[in-house]
Amino acid sequence: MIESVLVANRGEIALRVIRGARELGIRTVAVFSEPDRGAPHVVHADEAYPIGPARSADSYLNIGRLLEVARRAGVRAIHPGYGFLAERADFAAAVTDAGFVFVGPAAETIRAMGDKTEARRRMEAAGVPVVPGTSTPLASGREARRVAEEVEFPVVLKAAAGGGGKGMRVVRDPEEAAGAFRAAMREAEAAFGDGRVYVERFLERPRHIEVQLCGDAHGNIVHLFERECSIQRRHQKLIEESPSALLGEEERRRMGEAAVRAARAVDYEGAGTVEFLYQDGEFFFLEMNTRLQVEHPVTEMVTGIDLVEWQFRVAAGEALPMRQRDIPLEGHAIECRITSESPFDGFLPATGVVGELELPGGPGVRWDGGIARGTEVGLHYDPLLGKLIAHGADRETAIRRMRGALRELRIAGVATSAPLLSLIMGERDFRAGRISTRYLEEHPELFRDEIPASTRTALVAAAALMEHTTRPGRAPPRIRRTPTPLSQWARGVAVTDPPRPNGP
Amino acid sequence: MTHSNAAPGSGARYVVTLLGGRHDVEVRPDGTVVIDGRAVHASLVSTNPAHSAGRGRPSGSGTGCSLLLDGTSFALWARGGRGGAWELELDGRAVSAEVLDPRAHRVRRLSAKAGAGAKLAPLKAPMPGLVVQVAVDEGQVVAAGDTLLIVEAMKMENELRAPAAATVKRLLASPGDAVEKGQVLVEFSEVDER
Repeated sequence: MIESVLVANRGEIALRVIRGARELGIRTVAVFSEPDRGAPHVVHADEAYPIGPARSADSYLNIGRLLEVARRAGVRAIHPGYGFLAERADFAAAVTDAGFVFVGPAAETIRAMGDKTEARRRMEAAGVPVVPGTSTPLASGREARRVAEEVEFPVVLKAAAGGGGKGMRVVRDPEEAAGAFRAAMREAEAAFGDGRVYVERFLERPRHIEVQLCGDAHGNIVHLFERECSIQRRHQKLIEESPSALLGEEERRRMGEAAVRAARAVDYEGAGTVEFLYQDGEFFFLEMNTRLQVEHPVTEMVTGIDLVEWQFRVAAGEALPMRQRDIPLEGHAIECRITSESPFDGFLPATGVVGELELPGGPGVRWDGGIARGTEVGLHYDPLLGKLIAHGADRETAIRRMRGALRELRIAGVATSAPLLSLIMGERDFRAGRISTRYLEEHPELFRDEIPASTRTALVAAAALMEHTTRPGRAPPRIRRTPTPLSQWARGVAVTDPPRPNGP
Repeated sequence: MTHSNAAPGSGARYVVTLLGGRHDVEVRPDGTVVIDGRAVHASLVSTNPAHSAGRGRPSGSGTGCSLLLDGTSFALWARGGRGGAWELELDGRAVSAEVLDPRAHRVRRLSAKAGAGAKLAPLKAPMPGLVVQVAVDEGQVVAAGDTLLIVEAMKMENELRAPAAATVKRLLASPGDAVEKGQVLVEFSEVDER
């Protein structure tokens, strides 16, 4: 087994990898940028070293600096997490060339699947269905328009180097094609340093269903069933679940087999995900993610398998611990992404200091987080603060547990997506499993943010009492300067008298 | 005040403004709080021992509080207090509140009226970011919803649109500028109706 690992990441995923490594007795080395000095992934690692200033390009994306720290700390392996360098073939190659084990697939596999046009070609050759579109990048706005007309509107422009919705543009009108092409190129260039863009037919009401895979160095590849990730906003997933509420046994088997075929086409080693779009009984290959996914915990909850553990075992050259027929699928799991965004304010990125952090508990509830009280949430990095996962015997139970967990979760000081997620958990179509990637557009009522009268009353009372008890210098008007109950705030006891059940 | 169930008392009176509404509140020494004429029993404690140690306002990272209103439990968080301005959070919703005694409230309302008369509020940056594109020129007439600028934050492009039909009076940002939250980007004047 690998004896030590450098985790080339931050936030919740760095902590998740550290936990997985620790279970296997692997020594953990964290890295941190200047503002992350006090972050949980630093606090919980066995060792931690600085890698530069806040800007990702100067720290978490600085390959030379990461390798230098890995050498100095004397680690055997490097785990990239997701995001940052996880899908950069040059990083995987540099890690291997420097004599370390890369916890992930071969650089060649990342390159092939990271180039979305190349991936499309390979999948077509392997007999995996793909969405109609081009397999070569577009040269100009004019070409974008011409090709889009061939494929038929609406189309979607996508970054060849892309993922996560960045650099993506849906085009419904030929007149918009050239402008959208330029915007997509600009965003792709900014996000990936690669402005190549290609085109696919846009499916109107698809569901996003993906299959978790794992392969080893001995030619074994298994799938760990599907995850449904249809609740998205601008291609950013908000809620994921496993299994899909939609698929029957037969479709589940067909999709699993197609995913394994896709993985075989590139001799896949390690954990990966094949994403499909599903519409009207048909599914199409969307892309393959050659890394651990944000939403991997829902798969872990329904299979009982620790995917990070499997990643380490495969990286160490071991065979997969289980065969396909032995992998269980038990109950239902849901994940909610808690991000620092204001859902009722157009999802504007929110900043602040986490002033209060209370985490839910109870049966079937899991929190994978990367924040602590005092964590400063800025704009340097991804807005994901943590993930709340609920597991139950069936979908209904998992939803009920998630509702309870969201109620218990308290993150104060920075706005989060949690209130919207709570509303979705109670919404009728979601509960019935009637969802698609257009769910949020089709439910504008969720964003009306109506504040119940009881909540308003509580806010008014709290505001008045806070002001009343903390007015500096003098007692509030018309109240005598008496020691109780007005000064009780200072002593950490009741500000006003304790409640009397039968009234005063 | 329509269905008043509380006789006028000798408590401290406040005017609380939040979520666009005005509420009259009286805090009585016996723990009764009268909100818009309705009396409830209220108990508020800080759940953050660090804050409770000293009297004063919870600035900085604020404090968690437990509020019981006639026995119903609310978990809140509060910060601020300067000049009666509070930031509160309940059920993940952040709300700004202004708490003034009735006289201060009257004074502030009158001075606000005196300064009124301005037409269209300028467009401010909703978050810190980088201006990647300016889609309009000074003097240009825009319709409500027209894209004015594109600001990139967290690697996502955010289109800032015109809040109403207007004429662009001044542009205060150009492509490549890093802007702070709240920074004025565009000033408007009313559309000339000739």
